Amino acid sequence: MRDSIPSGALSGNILVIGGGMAGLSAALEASEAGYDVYLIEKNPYLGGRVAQMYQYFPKLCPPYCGLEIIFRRIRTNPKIKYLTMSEVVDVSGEPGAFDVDVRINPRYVDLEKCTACGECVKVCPVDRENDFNYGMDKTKAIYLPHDLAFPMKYVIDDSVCKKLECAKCVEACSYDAIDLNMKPKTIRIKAESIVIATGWKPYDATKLDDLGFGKYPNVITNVMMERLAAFNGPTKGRILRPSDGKEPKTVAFVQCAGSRDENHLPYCSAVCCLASMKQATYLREQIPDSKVYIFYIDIRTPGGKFEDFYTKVSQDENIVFVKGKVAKVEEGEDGNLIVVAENALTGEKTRTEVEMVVLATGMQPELSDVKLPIKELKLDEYDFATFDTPGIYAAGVARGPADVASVVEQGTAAALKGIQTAKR
Amino acid sequence: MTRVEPDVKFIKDLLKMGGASLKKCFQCATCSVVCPLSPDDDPFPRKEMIWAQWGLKDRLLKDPDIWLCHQCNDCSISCPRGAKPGEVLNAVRNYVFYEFSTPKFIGKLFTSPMYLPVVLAIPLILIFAVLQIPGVLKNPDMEHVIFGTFINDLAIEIAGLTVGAYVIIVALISFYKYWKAIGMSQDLVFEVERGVEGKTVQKIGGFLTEFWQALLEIIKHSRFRECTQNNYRYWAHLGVFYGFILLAISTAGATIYMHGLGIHELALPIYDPVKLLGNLGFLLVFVGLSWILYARLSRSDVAGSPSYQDWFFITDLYLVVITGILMEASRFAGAASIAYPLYLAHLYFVFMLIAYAPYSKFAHLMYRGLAYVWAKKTGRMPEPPQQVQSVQRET
Repeated sequence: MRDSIPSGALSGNILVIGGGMAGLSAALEASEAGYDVYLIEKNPYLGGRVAQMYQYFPKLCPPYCGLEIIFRRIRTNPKIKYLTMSEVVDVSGEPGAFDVDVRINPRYVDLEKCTACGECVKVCPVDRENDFNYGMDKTKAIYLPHDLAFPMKYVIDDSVCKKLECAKCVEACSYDAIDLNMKPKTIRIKAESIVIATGWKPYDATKLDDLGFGKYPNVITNVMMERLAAFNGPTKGRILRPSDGKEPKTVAFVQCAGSRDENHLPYCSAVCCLASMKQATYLREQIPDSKVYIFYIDIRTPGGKFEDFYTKVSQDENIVFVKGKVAKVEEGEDGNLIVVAENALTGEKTRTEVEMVVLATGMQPELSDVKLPIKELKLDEYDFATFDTPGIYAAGVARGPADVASVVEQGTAAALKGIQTAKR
Repeated sequence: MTRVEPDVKFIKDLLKMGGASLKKCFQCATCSVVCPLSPDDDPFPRKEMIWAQWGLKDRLLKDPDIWLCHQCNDCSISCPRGAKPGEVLNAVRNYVFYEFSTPKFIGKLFTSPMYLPVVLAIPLILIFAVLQIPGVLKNPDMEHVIFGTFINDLAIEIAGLTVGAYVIIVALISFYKYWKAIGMSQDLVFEVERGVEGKTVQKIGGFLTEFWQALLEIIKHSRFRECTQNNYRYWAHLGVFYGFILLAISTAGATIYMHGLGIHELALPIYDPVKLLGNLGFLLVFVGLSWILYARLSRSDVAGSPSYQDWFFITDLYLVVITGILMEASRFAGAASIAYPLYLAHLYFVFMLIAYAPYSKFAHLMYRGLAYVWAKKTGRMPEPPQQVQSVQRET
């Protein structure tokens, strides 16, 4: 497996930081053009946030079709070497000759030996919150990141695992794949250019004081909604509200929850309008007598296809668009919620009782938290990477909020820039 | 079809009069929701923000809702754009002071600090002129500080009554103009459509009832109390308001002493009830004002930045009470050389406070009071003040 821990003098043409959609695209395009690529991913799996989505807009097809193809291209391409559970800890040198130190964190599971049989999980006594499902369910301390994970290998969460004190999984594994003594390892990779595709995270909804996230269980975020709708999610694809597992018949989407707000994220997160409309279709399809309210400041659906999607969705009379930002969510009866907004078109303050609220939280760059050890990298005022450092090219949401299709294009563009540097 | 006729000059004036941020608004309506004072039906201040942006002067000047706002500033704090609706509404109120002032050229003097020299010079000239009248300025008693030996009390009374009469006349004219503008002279619709629950019929008991209800509202400061983010304002304004009333009572008491009881040398000892009331009034106004100033200066992002009109009024009132207490202190200390000039300064600041009342922020008492009566009449501010909350239930 090229995914096993490498050693010796390593060098490639292009090093890609981040194995999400942008990083995967950059890595694939560069390698398929004949260049050697290292792909560094922090998570135990590739695919990034896209792997957590149920459907793409506007086509409403599952992202896993595309991901499957991407993973096959990686498997069959010897020019891509990917490292999961890895972080860049130091970058030195200059365009054409970077030295990148990468720390590979212990997975405790041997990638070559693990067959993903799952015997280990049966004996593991420790639970952990499942971050892949945004904490809506639990896994054992040894777990498969998700049903379609690539690589399809187990991993141990060392923040909760009792290691040698317990070691039941070691015994249970008939392939001798578990090594609880695994230590972090730092390796040096030489690269001629670097692509930064560190992606995004959803804005922390607990910071939105008046919207009740974290206070009322039936206020969820849009990324949680994707997991609820996904077949490999915590509810096996059934949209059920957290408090009592009931099908929500009325759902309010709160647009710009934290976006376009100087007190939170001042910029537009670009995808939330379309994401909410897409999620409204999940609801309307799965719960035919459901009613959806979308509270918005402006509906932003740039370009022909997205505008068409808006037109299509707004034809459903049970998807009601209300122009007015929800500034308050109050507790109603039986776990219901009351969303308060002023309908700016009618000039009336409305209190709408719904069974579930979805906050359309925006995208915050991972770079706002995790500072890459690259001195030359310039971030803008919102911590998005700029594109003006020679030899270092950013792609995807690391550069700014974008939908998946644009991110693929940006990855391809960054690959070309990387190749140009490597060529010199 | 409604024709929108933007008044560009009006927009520019609002920008200068405290609404500098109004163009940042993108109409998300967060403000109307977080406002603790806004009614459900046609809430403010979102609609006022777009009227201000569009320069719809007519609508704004006829909109009593701007007085139902007490600038709690919850809206400005939550505003995602920093458009500060609280300050914009304050700017509109400042514009009302000007628009309905009588005569308007005096009102104009309060629209910009540019005219401040004129504003300061007018009372200076008038006081100087009055002092030239023989018998007004006397030879002060330097042994014991008795202010009546410095300036003739009778002159002050005559001047005071003259200024008072002027103020009442111009204020009444302004009052009437605003009365007409907000439609008080027409038959108002008493049925107010509220939410989806249908019509709420407001029982109306005629002007006196409405006036009484509005007065109670003012006395209790009950709307101020609804402020959440800046709840200090309730206490601070209450202090200034009642302190001012105590000062007025104390002044009335002094007049009764002079004319009713025939005390001519009005140098009351500190334990005299009238003196005590006056000092308590001073203390309340001073503490309230200091609190407001401190909050406005130390955390203007939360409390809001004062407009020029705010500054003028706060400063003048501050100077009135400070010169007042200092002249009292110097009187008890027997420091005649300080006490008499302070007295003159005090008269100057009091003159400005009273003579300019119909044009300065002081006039908010009149306009807001009238708007309260309007709100009681139309049911926009029902009794009790808490909004009837209609919940839209969907099945």
